Amino acid sequence: MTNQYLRNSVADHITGAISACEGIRNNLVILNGPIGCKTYYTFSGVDSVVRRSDLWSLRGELQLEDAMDDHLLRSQYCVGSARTPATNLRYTDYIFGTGEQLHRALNDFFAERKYDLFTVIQTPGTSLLGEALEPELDEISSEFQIPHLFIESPAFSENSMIGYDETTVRLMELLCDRTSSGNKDTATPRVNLFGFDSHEKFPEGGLKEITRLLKLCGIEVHTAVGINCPVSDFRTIGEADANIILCPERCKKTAEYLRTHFNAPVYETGGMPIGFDLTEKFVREISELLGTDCTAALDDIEENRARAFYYIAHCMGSSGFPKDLRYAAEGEPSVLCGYVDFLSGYLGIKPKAIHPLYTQCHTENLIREKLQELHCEDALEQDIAAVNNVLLLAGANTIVELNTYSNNIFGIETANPGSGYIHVIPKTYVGCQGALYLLEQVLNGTKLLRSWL
Amino acid sequence: MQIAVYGKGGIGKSTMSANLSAALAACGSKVLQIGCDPKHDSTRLLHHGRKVVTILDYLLNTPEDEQKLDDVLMTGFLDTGCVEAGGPRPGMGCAGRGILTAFDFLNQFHAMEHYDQIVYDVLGDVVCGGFAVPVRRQYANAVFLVTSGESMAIYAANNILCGIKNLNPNGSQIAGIIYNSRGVGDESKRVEDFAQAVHLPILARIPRSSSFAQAEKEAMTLVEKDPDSTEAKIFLELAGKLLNQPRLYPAQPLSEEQMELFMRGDTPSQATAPVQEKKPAVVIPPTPAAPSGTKKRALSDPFSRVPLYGCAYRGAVDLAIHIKDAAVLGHAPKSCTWYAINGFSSYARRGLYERGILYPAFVPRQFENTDITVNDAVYGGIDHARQKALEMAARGIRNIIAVTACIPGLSGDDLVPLQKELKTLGVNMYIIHTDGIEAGDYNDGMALCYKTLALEAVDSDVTPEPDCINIVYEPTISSQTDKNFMDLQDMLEKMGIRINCRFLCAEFMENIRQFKKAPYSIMARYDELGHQLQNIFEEKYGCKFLDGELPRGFSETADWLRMVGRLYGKTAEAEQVIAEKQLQYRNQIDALKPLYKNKKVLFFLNNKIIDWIFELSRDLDWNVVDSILIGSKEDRTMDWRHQFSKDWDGNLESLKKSIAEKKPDLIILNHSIAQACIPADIFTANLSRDVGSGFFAGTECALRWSQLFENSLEGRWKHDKSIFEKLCR
Repeated sequence: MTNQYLRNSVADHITGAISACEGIRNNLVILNGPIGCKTYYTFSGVDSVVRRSDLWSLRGELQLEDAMDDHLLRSQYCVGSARTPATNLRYTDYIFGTGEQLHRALNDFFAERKYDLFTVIQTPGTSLLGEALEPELDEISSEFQIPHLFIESPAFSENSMIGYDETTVRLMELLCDRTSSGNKDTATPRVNLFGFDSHEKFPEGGLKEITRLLKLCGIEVHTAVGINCPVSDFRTIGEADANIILCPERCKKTAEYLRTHFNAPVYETGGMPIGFDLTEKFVREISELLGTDCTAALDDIEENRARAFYYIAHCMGSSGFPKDLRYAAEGEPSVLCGYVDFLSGYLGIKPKAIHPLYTQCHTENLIREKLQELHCEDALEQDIAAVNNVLLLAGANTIVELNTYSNNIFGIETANPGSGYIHVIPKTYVGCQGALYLLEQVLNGTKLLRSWL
Repeated sequence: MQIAVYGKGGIGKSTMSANLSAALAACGSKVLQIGCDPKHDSTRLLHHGRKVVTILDYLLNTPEDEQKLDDVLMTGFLDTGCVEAGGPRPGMGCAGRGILTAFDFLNQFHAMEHYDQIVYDVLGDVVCGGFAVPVRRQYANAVFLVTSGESMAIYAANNILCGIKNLNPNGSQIAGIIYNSRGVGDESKRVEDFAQAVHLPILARIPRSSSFAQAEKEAMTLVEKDPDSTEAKIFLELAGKLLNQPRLYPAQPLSEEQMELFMRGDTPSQATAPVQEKKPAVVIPPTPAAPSGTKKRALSDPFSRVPLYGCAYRGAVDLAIHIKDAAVLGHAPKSCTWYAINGFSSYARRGLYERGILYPAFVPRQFENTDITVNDAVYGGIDHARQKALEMAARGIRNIIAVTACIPGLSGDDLVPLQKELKTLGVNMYIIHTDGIEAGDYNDGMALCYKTLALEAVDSDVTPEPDCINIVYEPTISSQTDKNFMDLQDMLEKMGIRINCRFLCAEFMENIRQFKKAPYSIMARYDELGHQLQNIFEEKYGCKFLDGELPRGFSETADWLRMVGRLYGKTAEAEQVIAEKQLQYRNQIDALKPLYKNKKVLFFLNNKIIDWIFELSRDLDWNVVDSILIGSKEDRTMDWRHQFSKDWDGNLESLKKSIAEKKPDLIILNHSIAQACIPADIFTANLSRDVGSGFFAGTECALRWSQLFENSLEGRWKHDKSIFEKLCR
């Protein structure tokens, strides 16, 4: 029986839209809807990225600049959680219109704090009303001198990747200075990174690692879209020398927009560089594109490969991982591709079940081809809910789900929502640091799984 | 130019629009006519009655990656583009949303960019936001009002002017009136008077003529069939005016009173209907926000509107998943399901991570969602729900709890026929209508689910059996629920009593049906809903309940157990359990007393079921410096809403004052939000979290709280505030 619960647990369009907007620093992202609609978003992903605006002071003692104070935090829009406030609509607003309450909410926020941008996102219910809120929002924008984005339709049951992608394009249309082009100030080539999402697992660590590797190649990151990016950086996207797309699911329309509106080349990696081999491919290709020297980055990769070799050989012996060890993974196809390349291609572990999510983005061929390349295509679309005795790369929902009826699962959290463990050190699954962190978990997982056999 | 033609239903808008489009095309323009009426006959005369594929039908039946503009765009007279938005079945879905969807589709393909003139033919009145789409600023820049001299047509025309004025109060968007004569009495004068009253010109006067009907019989416009006719020339002349940048006028509708005078034949004054008041309920500050520390408050009170506490759909789902052998069918968009799943599964995730315990109740294997799409919202999503429910039935599921969210509520989906159909298949469907925010908040959603199952799922023919008991209304998301249940089960088992049904906590539907088997039931807790549930069981099924809720503290628990012993004829067994626990309790108290010596305690509590804390206070000889009790003992509805009331601010003031005067070491409270006004050097113990029941509820808390006094270290991390401010940008 297909487990419907697992199939349902994929983030929705509005989550993606919120993510894209919250990826811009000091952007008030407000849902125009009842408080119930905000309650989930407000508590998700808060520990992924350090943001000053997520802090608040309840007792006055640690009153931080820019922190949300008790008055607003307790208000009808936040009701105790600072992120993703809502306008707190009532049923009568659905009948008589939501404009007045929206106006009231924005006024209250702007009287309390300064913002560089505000985004109003209609919840599914309010989107059905089809209200003409643009004039209202235009007025508020001009009154407070803050640009705004209005997302009128949350596209109901579409997935979050599409929501993120469409919203990123809307943000570029609104904010980007299309007349700027090319890096005129410095000799060091600069790139924009697209594909990070603050709702993801470890976006901060991922950005840090990619930035480090690019720096070793003599390349600077100009703008990392989706991860605490200031409006001023977003405006000058056109000044970078190349645009790098790290997540095809989340950036399909974004890539099209960049190609048609800016001169800089668009380089699509096909996915995050997971594992040493994909990381090497990533640095070589970007260096070639921008004409820089990637020797230092390759040396770094080599050094980390040597470290990995030591631990694999030390823990597993010369024959490597047990041949009967299996793993299962779920996630977007491009990410699965990276995991399969590392776990099967590099570590030599056979997959038991590979479960692509977000298939509406039409990137399944990436994982299909990767599995074919490794002669493991039988793992594709096996029922992940039926596996046992495996390393499981997934979000905590799936890990818990499988634990309820499998007796030997080692979960490696690769996606949100997480189990609740708080990660203070910025971790990642991409690049060299990511490969080592993944290896660390695979080694420990293997040890635990085998001890129960 | 983009032209919207509005008017009362049946007034001839489609005929006017089609002839106008034909005339514009005859003048050399490339014209697109968009029919915005669900009955989709606007463009018939242009394309000569060919079969139309409306945009909404097309979107409903065509995969997204196969959609093309050409599939819905027909070419009519002189290459006129013809598109019909279409709509849902009458009485179903949301036609307004349909119009929005159709426009999104046209924008996606940049359909409008290929034409010089766009003519929108819009349903009779500005009925909702969706139908107002064409008059929004980004679409129509010239509006025609079609009217005859009939009262209803003039009323509709005035109402449309009101709508336009509300949407665009400062703009000039009206081109004028097209007077379509019906040949009734003195209608010319009436239309002229109306035009004068609303300060609009009559741009065309269309005589009543059989020529239109003859042309329509041949599915043609008159402009095409007989371009030299007098009537066709009127349209050609009108087209000429439009092509020469006509003057546009502001909407100046008559007020209701003025319309009344007008209809009676009196002359209304010149004042027009006011724009629907756009009163910013707040006075907007003249300057942007002041810096932190000297914040200027907006004049609106951000606490003025009590928010709904969460979402009714989520509340109902959170409860429904506790029925182990029922499937939950969410009839909702993915947003709601994603939110609900991550809500209840957070208890499963945290349970496994924080305690190493798996809670299968929070990982339901049979939870499906209809994933309502835009199409479902437009057309209604009943078919989708039916398909899912039948699939569940085919898999052998015999109990389905269907929970409906906002969208089906707004689009009018009715699951009752499906419920009847499933009954014939031997499947019970319980419908929880958490439709729209009308259903209330999280607790209301839970209440609806509790009540529906209490009323519909219990078998009233079951006869009671001895030595079993029900427990009703346990908190489903408390970390203490399992422990409390196991403690209770342990005590009762020692007396030879078993638990028959947990209504509703990780329970099977069969045990709910057999609820009446137990001669008595226990209320785990009381609040408004608790009382309502008890009433349902008492009044509908004649069930008997023990007095009071699950006991806390030694005396309360001992009394409660004696009562159970009396009712079940097991007094000796009860006394044996009490004696065993009493010894343990005394030992605990003796160990705890020294830890609280010289400590000052302050209570800030809701005045309900708190006897146990006072007993604990007496037994431990606490120095209680103040007791601020909120609400009356009878008031069991002190909840979320209270924190948005004026009384609450008064309570907080009393707390602040007492802290300043009495300087307590420990404050025991049951409001998280009150902690905001307690200085950090005073320890707080929050009863709203993690307080169990039974003999040792108090002593277990006291042991935990005593550890607060053992640590006076502050930590140097607080000195790093300035580094954070500097670096974390």
